[in-house]
Parts: sequence; structure tokens; C-alpha cells
Amino acid sequence: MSKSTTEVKADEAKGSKSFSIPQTAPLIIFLLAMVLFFSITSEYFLDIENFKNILVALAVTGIVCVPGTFLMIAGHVDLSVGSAAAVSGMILAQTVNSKGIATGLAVCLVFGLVLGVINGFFVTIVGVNSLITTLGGLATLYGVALLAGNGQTVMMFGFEWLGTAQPLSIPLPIIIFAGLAIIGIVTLRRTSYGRSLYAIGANANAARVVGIRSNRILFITFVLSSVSAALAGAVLASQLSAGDPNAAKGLELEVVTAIVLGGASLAGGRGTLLGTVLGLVVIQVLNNGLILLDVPSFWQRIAQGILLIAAVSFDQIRQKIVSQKG
Amino acid sequence: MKITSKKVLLGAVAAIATATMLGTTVMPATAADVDFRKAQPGYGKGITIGYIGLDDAIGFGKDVGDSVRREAKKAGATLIYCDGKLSAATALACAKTFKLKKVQGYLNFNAVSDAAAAICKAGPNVPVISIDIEQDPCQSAFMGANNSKAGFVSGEALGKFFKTKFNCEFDAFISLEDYGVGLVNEARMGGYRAGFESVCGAGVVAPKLKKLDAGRLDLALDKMKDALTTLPGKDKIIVVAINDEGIQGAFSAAKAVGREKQLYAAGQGASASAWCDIKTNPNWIGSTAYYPERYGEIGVPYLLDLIKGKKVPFQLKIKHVAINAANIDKNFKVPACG
Repeated sequence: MSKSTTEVKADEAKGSKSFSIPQTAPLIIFLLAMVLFFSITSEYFLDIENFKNILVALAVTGIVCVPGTFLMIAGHVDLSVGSAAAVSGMILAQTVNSKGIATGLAVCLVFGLVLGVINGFFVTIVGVNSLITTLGGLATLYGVALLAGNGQTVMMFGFEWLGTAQPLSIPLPIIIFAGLAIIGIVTLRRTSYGRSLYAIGANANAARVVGIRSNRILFITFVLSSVSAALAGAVLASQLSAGDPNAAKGLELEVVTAIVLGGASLAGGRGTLLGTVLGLVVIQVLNNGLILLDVPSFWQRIAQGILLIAAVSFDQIRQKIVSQKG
Repeated sequence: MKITSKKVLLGAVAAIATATMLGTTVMPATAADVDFRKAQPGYGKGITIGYIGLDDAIGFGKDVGDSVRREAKKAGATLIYCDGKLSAATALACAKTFKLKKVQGYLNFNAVSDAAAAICKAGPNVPVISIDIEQDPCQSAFMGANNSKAGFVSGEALGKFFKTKFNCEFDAFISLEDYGVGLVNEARMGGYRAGFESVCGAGVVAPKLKKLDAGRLDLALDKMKDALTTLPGKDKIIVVAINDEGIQGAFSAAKAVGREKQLYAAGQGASASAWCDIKTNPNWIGSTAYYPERYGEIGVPYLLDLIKGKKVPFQLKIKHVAINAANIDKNFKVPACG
């Protein structure tokens, strides 16, 4: 039997052996060029503390990126993650102050679970487009975050360790993100759930025909996405020692940017977590380097936008070359 | 819901994002106004200072940031400029960068006061001057606006105008407020009333006071139309607003019904967008200047003083001035008003 479209896509995602240009090549080249440039231009860039800063800064976004990549591979997107993280931080701050850390974390994660169930319900059972569902969630949850603190930030006491502890001199948020990323990579490559995501993203109807329970897979993925957003919100609140309704504003765009930069297709069926991690690192190295070089923030925004367009364009060119050779 | 013991202060601080959009600021109540000090060339030579900005995408924040940059350059100090983008997480990253770059002192305009402790901890242990928003526990000094006084100076200007022209008689005192900014609103709008009454007598405002939640141009435009409808035939209507946009909206509403000569107004900000209105509209009595474009003339020299071990007062507040047609050119470079 010849390979199905899904299998071809999955193979490509793993890194095709047929052609010499790997999917992540442009990103790696760009990353190396940036590292070289910033190493030469800033004496602080190669400092170990700076690398820690880079990794800690990307950890919160990275936690959300893991299931975010799953969703995009399946052809969906969760735009509610930023507001979900904000609500989560507000809930955590208030609950930790009144009921303690364990209860606070539990309530926070249960909130993520419930939110994921709601998103999953609307997308897979009611049949509302995921973009619309989560866009509605983005606005609604932002309102909830503001309501939760009456528009104000809420200080949190005695729970800095999640965001600032450094076991073995490695910041805990990095360990959490790295752990999730490894689990995510293994899940995508080695489990039927992971393969099903590629199949759904490549052709949802075909996936259903071959017996993949698309709705169940998507439902689970939306739950994972919201739980990860809740966890990210908790880490962020812990870092700040406060719940802030505006804390994770724009997180959803950072997530989408990193995933797309990493080679995932907005149409689904293509993408890897390794690519997403690379995308995250590229974005954060750029942000960090521009700050170290004292580049005005307006130019930082411009550079970030250009980076996204350039990286995706490179990827399109690469795909064209691959298809021409094929 | 549990909010900390600093609830009142935090209320104001949490409103800062909105407040800055309005050109407003949040600060402790006790005042100690200081003069602007131009940086002395060479005074900061060999010194590295940092600046965590509010958000360069907001006019007020950009003006403050530019002034800090300018004064640091004049002083010969190396400035590590880091835009906080209204995000505590970004401000936290800025503080870490400061530690890495070994700054010897920094100005902090971080928007989220509740995150200040985490930011202080992440940053270097050096002198810190907070701008408009408390940055406990590491602030060595606090600089910023004096909202009650800012309201007072323009209220007083209105009082003097009415005393001279109408012997303090007026038909209504319309207050265009923004309840979303909490204490800032109370301080500023209360300041207007206190300033007016300091000239025209205590208790004269309350019987004729109309408060409207209209701290934006569009809201002021809508609500002033309704307010004017309830004041038929009245021609001595005082309007004060939490910002200049409110006054612009009020005049637009009055103009639409041919009653713009019946308003006598005072605003807050004296921002560039209001300069020509202030200069050319005889019924715009005044607007309080906040001078964000000169914040660096306080922040930078006093920070350098702190780094050099000199004593600096904790409160470093702006001296507000009521800007009017007569003095606007002395305070700002106003372009030709068509």
C-alpha cells in the first residue's frame, strides 16, 4: 500500500530523508547568525546569566506552545490562552493568599481543565470554529480576569518558588518547560495520539474514514491547551508574586508566532515541537539581543514582525525547492 | 477575594494603564515639589544607569523615556533603556538585564506595582527612583505628578477668572471624570473644586455640581450634549475634565448646538494636541501641565546624586503650572495655529 498523505506529512514533520534541506534549516541558520552577531556586539550576550534570562523568558510561552503545536498540527488554534493564563494567575493569587499553595495550584489547574472542556465542547460537539470559539474566550476571559481582581492586581505571598526556584542552578520554569517539551516530542513521534493529530490536520475527513476519533482527540487537545495556559499563568504569577489581569496579554500571538516560525502550517498537518522550540528560542534571542544592544522598542517590534515574515518566506521557498526536486 | 492591606494604593496603581492613557499618574499624597534640573555635562561620566519605561507606545510614556534618554546623554551617563510595555514580566526581564549589565542605579516606571517586589529582587541592589508608581521595597526616592495640586492650580485659575469677570457667579459646575482611575480621579477632580473655592468661597461648588463619567473625547461629546439640554438658557457653565480630551469633547458638543461661548473650561495635561485650543479659544481658561517631556530633568540628576551618595529627598514631585493663552508660548514651542 502506498503511503497516505498523512504518513507523508508525518514523515516530513519528522525530517524527510529524501531531500537535503531540513525544515528547520533556515531557522537554525538564522539563530546561529543572531547568536554570532549578538556575541560580537554585546559583551553580555554570552554570559550564563543571560542565557538563563532568555530561557526563563521563553518558558511561560513555551509551556503553552506544547499543546499549541498539537492543536496547530491538527489544524486548530487556541486564542484564549493569554486570557486563560491571566485568569489563572488571578485565581492563584487569591486562593494562595486565602487557602494555601496546594489548594491554589489545584484550583488553578481545575480552572484550566474546566475551560478546556468548555472550549472542546464548543469546537467538537457544537461545531463552532476553533478560531471563533477561542476568540470569544479571549475576550470573555479577559473580562473575567478584570472582574476577579476588580480591575486590580492582587499580590501573592509565599509562593515564589514555582517561578524563581533554581534546583541544580537551573530555573524551575525552564525545567517545567523542558519536561513538557520532551513529553510533547515523544507524544507526537511515538504515540497514536500524536500521529492522529497529523492525520486530522492533513485531512480531517480522511482521518475519520480511517477510524480516527477526531473529536475525542481534539477535545483532549483543547483540554491540554487550557491546562497548560493555567500552568503558565501560575508560573508567571509566581515570578511576579502577583496576579495581574494584564499579565499575559498577547501570549496567544506569541504562541502562534513561535509555532508558525517553527514550521507548522496554519492549515494543519505539518509541524514539529522541535521546530516550535527553535522558533521560541529565535524570538527570545532576538528580543534579548535587541534589548542588550539598547535598540528602541519600536524597532524591536518591527524586527519581530520582519523575522516572522522572513522565516515563513524561507520556509515557503524551501518547500517549493523540495516539491520541484520531488 | 483577598486584596492586600495596601488596597487603596494598589487600586490606584492597578489603574495606571488607563491612567497613563489619560496622561494621568498615580502617587503618594504628601507633596514635596522640586524644580527641574538640567543635567550637568559630565556629571554622569563613567556611570551606567537604567530606565524601565512605562510603554513607549503611549505618548506620555514615550515623552518620559525620551527625556530620560536626553538627560542621560547630556550628563554623559551610559543609559540602559528598557521599555516595560505595560507588562510586569517585561519589567522583570529589564531588571535582570540591569543586573547583568551592572547598572549603578535605575529609574523605574513599571506599570504593575504589585510586581515591584519581584522586580526589585531580580534587579541589582542599587539606588532606584520610582516614577509615578510606587516600587516598594527598593525605591530610594519617588518622583511624579501631584494630582490634587494639578487639579487645584487649574481650579484656582478658573476661580480667578470668574471672580474677575462674573464676581464668582456661575450656573453649573460640570465635572467630566473617569471613575476607572480611582484615586487619581478623586485627587484631580477634588483639586479643581478646592482650587475654585479657594478664590470664590468654600461650599459654592457643591450645589451646582454635575459629575459625569466622561473621561474620553467621545464620551464627553455624548454626555455634554445631554448635560447642556438640562441647562437651557444658562450661559456661565464651568466645565472641568480629567484630561484635555474631555474638554475638547465638551466644546465639540456645545459647538454642535451653538453654545460654545457659554462654556468656561479647564483641563489637565496641556498636551500638544490641546495647545492650539488653549491658545485660540478664549473660553478655555487653563490646562495643567505635567511636563512628561521634562521628567528626565528630575529623574536623571537625582539618580546620579543617589549613586554618588548624596542625600536626596524621598518625594520629588513635579511643579504643576496652569497653562493658558498668555503663558503657553513661554512653556511650549507651540506651532502656528491655523
